Order: sequence, then C-alpha cells, then structure tokens
Amino acid sequence: MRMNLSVMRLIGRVIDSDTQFHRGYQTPRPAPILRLAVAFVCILLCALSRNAWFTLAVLSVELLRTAMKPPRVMAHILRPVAVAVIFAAAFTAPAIFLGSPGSFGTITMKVCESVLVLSLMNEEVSWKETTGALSSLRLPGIVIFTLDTTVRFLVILGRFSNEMVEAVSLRGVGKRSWRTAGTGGILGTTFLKSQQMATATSEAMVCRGFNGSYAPGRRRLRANSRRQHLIDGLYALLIPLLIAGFIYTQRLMTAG
Amino acid sequence: MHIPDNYLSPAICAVMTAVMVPVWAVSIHKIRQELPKEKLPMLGVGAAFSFLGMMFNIPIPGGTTGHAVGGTLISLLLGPYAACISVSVALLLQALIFGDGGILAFGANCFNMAFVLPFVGYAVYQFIAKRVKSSRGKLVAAGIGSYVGINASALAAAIEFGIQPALFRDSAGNALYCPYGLNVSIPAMMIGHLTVFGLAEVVYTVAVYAFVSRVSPVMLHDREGSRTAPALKGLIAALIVLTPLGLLAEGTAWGEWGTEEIAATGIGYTPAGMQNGFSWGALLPDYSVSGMPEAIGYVISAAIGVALLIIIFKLLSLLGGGKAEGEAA
Amino acid sequence: MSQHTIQLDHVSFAYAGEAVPSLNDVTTAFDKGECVCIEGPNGCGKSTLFRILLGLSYPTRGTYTLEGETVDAKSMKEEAFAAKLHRKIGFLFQNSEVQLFTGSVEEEIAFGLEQLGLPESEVDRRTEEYLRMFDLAAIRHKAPFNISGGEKKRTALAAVFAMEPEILVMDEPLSGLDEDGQAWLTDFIKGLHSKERLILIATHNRELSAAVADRVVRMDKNHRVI
Repeated sequence: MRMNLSVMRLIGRVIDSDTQFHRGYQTPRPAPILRLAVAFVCILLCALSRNAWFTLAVLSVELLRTAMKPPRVMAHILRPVAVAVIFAAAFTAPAIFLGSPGSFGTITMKVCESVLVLSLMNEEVSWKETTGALSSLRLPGIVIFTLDTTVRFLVILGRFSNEMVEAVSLRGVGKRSWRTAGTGGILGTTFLKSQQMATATSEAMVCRGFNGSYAPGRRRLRANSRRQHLIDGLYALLIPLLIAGFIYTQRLMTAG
Repeated sequence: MHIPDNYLSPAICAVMTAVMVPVWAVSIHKIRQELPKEKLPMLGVGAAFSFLGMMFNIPIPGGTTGHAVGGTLISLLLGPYAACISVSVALLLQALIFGDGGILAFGANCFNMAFVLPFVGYAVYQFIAKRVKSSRGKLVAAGIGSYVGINASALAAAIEFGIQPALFRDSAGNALYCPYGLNVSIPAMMIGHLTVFGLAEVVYTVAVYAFVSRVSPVMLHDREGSRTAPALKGLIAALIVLTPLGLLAEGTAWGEWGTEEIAATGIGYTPAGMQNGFSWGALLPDYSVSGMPEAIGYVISAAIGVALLIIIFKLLSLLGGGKAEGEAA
Repeated sequence: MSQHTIQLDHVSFAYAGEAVPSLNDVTTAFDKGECVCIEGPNGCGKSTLFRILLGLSYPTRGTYTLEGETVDAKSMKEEAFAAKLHRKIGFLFQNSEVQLFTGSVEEEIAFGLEQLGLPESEVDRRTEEYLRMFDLAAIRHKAPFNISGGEKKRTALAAVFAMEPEILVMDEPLSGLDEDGQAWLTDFIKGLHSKERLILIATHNRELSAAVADRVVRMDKNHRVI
C-alpha cells in the first residue's frame, strides 16, 4: 500500500536518526548551526555561480566525502540525489531544443550539488540537532515551539494513521478501493485525535509550569570545551574560504 | 508543487523571502492575539498534518492519484494565519530534513503554499459560505475554495518559473535557471493543477472537512472572516509594489522581456548549440573556460572521477551480496 | 481549627452543553501527610476531579480551596498564583505519551525545572539526580516517543518528581505497566509517604489501594462521593 510505505519510511527516517546518534559519536564535531550555515553558503554560491568551476569544485569534495562512507550509508545519501538529478535532467532536456542547451548541464549539475550537500549534512547531523540549531536562531518563540511539536506529532500521527490504515485494510477482503474505505474518515479521525492530543499536551505543559512564553530550553547536546570551540572556529573558516573561492572562479570568466 | 533550488534565481528567491517576512510577522501577531495559549500545540498538529497530507496519494476519478497540499483545509480548521505558520513550518522541515523543496527557494515555496493557497482558499470559502445556509453548501464552498486556492498557488509558481529565462542568462546565452518562459511554464503548471492536482486537493479537503463537520463541528474555524480581507488586500498590494524591484535588480531593462521570451521558445531561431553541431560542450557551458590553472582543473576532474569510481564499486558491492560488510558502523 | 491542604465544598462540574454533571456536589478534604486513593467505576468523575484540583477546569458550583486560597477562573488569571499552584501540585497523567513533549528524556526532566526558574547548576544537578533515581541514565538522549511504555512512565514520573511538589496527584499510575513495573511503582509510592507530602491516587486497582492508602474515598456512578 503506497500510503503505508511512504509514511513508514518517514517515521523510520526520524526514528533511525535518533538511534544512530549518541551511540558512536563521541568525537566532537562542528556545531550543527555551523554545518547549516556552511551548507547554506555552498548552495547559495553555487546558485549564483555563472560558470561551472565553483559548482564542480564543491561537487568534487562532496562526492569524495560520500565515497568514503560505508556502502549502505552511501546508497542512502545518494538516493535523493539520483531522484533529483533524473528529474532535473528530464525537466531541462527540452530546453536543448528550445534554444537554451546549456541549461540542461548547468541546472542538472547544480541540482546534483545542492541536493548532495543537504543529503550529506542530514546524514551527519541528526534531526534533533538540526531543529536545535534552528531554535538557537532568534526566531519567534511560536515558530520554534511549532517546530518542536511538529516533529513529535509527525511520528505519533504517522504511527496512528498507519495503524488505522492497517485496521481498515484488515476489515476488508480482497482489493479495497480507497473511496469506499473512506480516506476522509481516516484523515479526519487522525485530525480529531491529534486535536485531543494537542490539548492534552498543552495541559501537561501548563501543569509543569508553562505559561505561554516559550523560552527554548538550552539544548544540552554539546560539550562546552575549548576543543569544541577550536573545532567550531576552524570549521567556520570554511565560509570565508568558500566566498573567496567563489569570487576567484567568477573572475575566471572571460568577458562576453 | 515544491520548487527545488536552482530553478529560480537567488534574486527572485530573496525577493519572495522578503515578501514573506511581513506575512509571517502579521500571522504570528494574529496568532498571539487570537489563539489561546492552550491551542498553540495545534500549530504543530497543523504542520504535521500538512506534511502527512502531502504523502497521501488521493485516488482520483479516472484511476490516477495525486498529492494534495491541504493549505485551504488547514485554514478552514485553524484559520488562515495559523495555516500560514503551520504550512511554513512543514515546508521548512521538508526542505531541510527531507530534501523536498529548496533551501533558497523556501521563501517562494512558502509564498505559494503558505500564503496564496490558504488565504485565497479561505477568502473564496468565506465568500461562498456567507451566501449559503446548508451544511452541504458549506462543503461545496470548501471544495471550490481549495480548488481556486491551489490553482492560484500554481499560477504564482508558474509566474516565478516563467520570468527566469527573460532575466538571467549566462555569457553563452543559456538560461541560468528555469529555461522555459511564461508561455511554457503557465500552461505546463496550470494543466496539471486544473486537473489532477486540483482534484486531489478538492477530494482531500472535502473528505476531511465533511468528516470533521459531521463528527465534531466545534473544531471548525468559522469566524466571520471580515478581518482577513483588508489584511490580504494590503499584502497583495505590497507584493505588487515589490516585485518589479526584484525584476529590475538584475539590471535587465524592462522592455527586453518580449523579444528574449519569444526567442526562447525557438520560433524562428536556431539554437546556437545546434548550429555548430551537437557537442557535449554545449550542454555544460564554460566547462572549458580558459584562465583556470590547469593543475586545479586536473585535480577537480580527477577528484570527481575517483569519487564516482569508488561510489560505483561500493554500490555494486551492495548489490553483489556484500551485505555483511555494509552493516558495519 | 487548622485549614485543610485541599478543601472541596459542594463542588459540581458540568462540561459546557452537557446536561448531566461530571461531578455532583462533592464535599471532601485532604491533608498533607496522607495518601488517599480515590476509587470508582469508569466515568464516575475521578479525572474531572483531578482537573479541578489542578486548575485545568473550574467548578461550575461550589468552591475549591488550596491551603486557604480559593482556586477559580479569576484567581488563576494571575500568573503568580497559577505558577504557585503548579509548583505545589505535580500531576501524573494516565497516558504518559501525551505528557512527554520534548526531544529527549533529559530535556523532559529539565523542562519543569527551567520553568521553575531555578539556576542552571541546580537544574543540571537535579536532572542528574532524577535520571539516576529512575534508572533513566542509559536512555537520557532518546526521544520520549521512541522508548518503551515502562520507560515512558518512569520518564513522566521523573519529570514531575524532579520539581519536588508537595502534592502529588496520579491518575491510574499502574496503567500500561507490566507486572514487574507495577510492583516497582507500588513500592515506590509506599516510599513516598511523608508528613510533608499529600498523595492522591485515582485507581481501580484494589491491591494498590490496599498497599499504599491511608484512606479510601469512593465515588459512584452518580458522580458523588459516598
């Protein structure tokens, strides 16, 4: 059942990343917020790049890093990249005949780069660290609170609707048309159930002293050591380096 | 309808993000005013729901399926301002963690799916619902609202795509971003949404709305939405003012739109690359830019080559039954 | 005559639009130092009673007094008063799942402490202490929705307990636990007995009442205390 599959994959992805981390990662890694920043800068500069060199340089580094991962992890990283690249190639192929042949190569290559950068980042940074990094930005409390609760509800709702889907299909024999199964009923019940849970959650929060202003709790995920600061500092140097590299490659374009 | 990175220029992305900032600010302000603090977790529910909705394949008469965004549905259940924030958060998570939709294009995606979709859908719903009495009528209003909403949102996306080739080209004359002009992007987007995706959205919205209004009508957000209209008009006005600024940002003269657009469709124009015979160089412009120190060029090509080889071999090993070693670490 | 810790006088409660009240003219009192079990069939109003004690709902009739101060919609509007109440009373929901809402077990424990405004060092100290006390150190980084039912229960307990409330209210604490878990929790509650603490437990489980209760309050299906 298609619906089942994608929902389970989603939940699996969230749960997986939870167990993966804090199991073997004792060596200090750069702060997640820096990883996000560097990834963002990479993607932005490649998007702005008017020639292939910068993008190719970033791509080469990321491909090498991917190549060094264990095969299963590597396949996991490359799957979304493959999908995005195939889609981009299909999307831009007609442009070859419509007067803009270069777009095919440019866009496909850039799409490969941006999706690979993000995919690698997600492999190395857990979703919890990512949302934690977002909450350290000066976003309004409501947004951060919504972010936190969304991921939590995603798993819970996903499991719930999945169980419902199973229950519904168990009640039918043979091929079931979704129309008769009542997609509206499943989704609607999931919504109402989530309403109940949301109310219960907010009451639980109130009972523990929450009074409406959400001050994001300090995420105790990182060590606050000198070594950590050193690693963070070195990693942050990547940003000016990338910008310098970008300017250099852009200058290489011969005029016209 | 998620727009990935590199299909829109960073300049347009920046403009769309700038437009969204006041929309978000107003939405948050309205939510603080109107939503009691016990209801705040509902925003997360809305976001998770929007997320899940995008994963459900809705069966459509005719045998195919489509995905729905659910922006109008959420605005009917939580109000348009809450829908804006909920859908934005869902899109943020999708972009960052699940790779759906670009990072740079986040502002544009939010504009289409978290602003245009819920607000237009809600406004249309209010317009019709005020004039009908029966619950059946309200259901129809919900359906029409969501249909108009998603098509308005698709139109916005089509316009964002379509203006790219006119504005951003590289030295070889190739479009740097989306290579299809408005006369291609609009029909392409609209055909899909007027039919398959529009229907999916309607089915999704109506099915859930019908269920909820039957089972638990108090959950519906059915204010006399007189307050939304002025806010909506104000924001659209701001947008109309800001967009030309974004278009002019690249320095292309306004008038050049027409000719380049026509040229891009290939009417009476032989593609440069084809003229000189088909070469791979035409597909990857500026690959052979002179001025790049050869050594660096070598290193990069070698790096990519080596990486690809390793990757291919490792992938093959996975298929070839090297599963035991694949499980390590 | 000294005041009771918790005093309910002719308290009735009905949900909006419902004809039948969920609580019917309840008059009772609880004092620190005792452990009281509230028994009754499903739907008799135990949970509603707790909601009122916690300030989540307000009596439609009658008064609820906590250490001499009336708790109603008006007094709860004051943030300081509401904060004081939540500091004094800790509540363990029947369903642990909805009670856990942060990204990791240790954050869950720290949440309430941070809301209390304790200094960072104290928050860290208590978090460590309660992680150990409830045998949660091994799963401290795991997300609450990823752990087993028993672990969820212990996490919820730790989160509430770390705030060191004077009054502990528990709704069906044994639900969702296996035999070992139930035995552990029963012993734990026995150990909580103290002159300074009031423990209220809603339960069907006669064994639990027999093991821990100083006295038993019974409610019937007419939503009264008998």
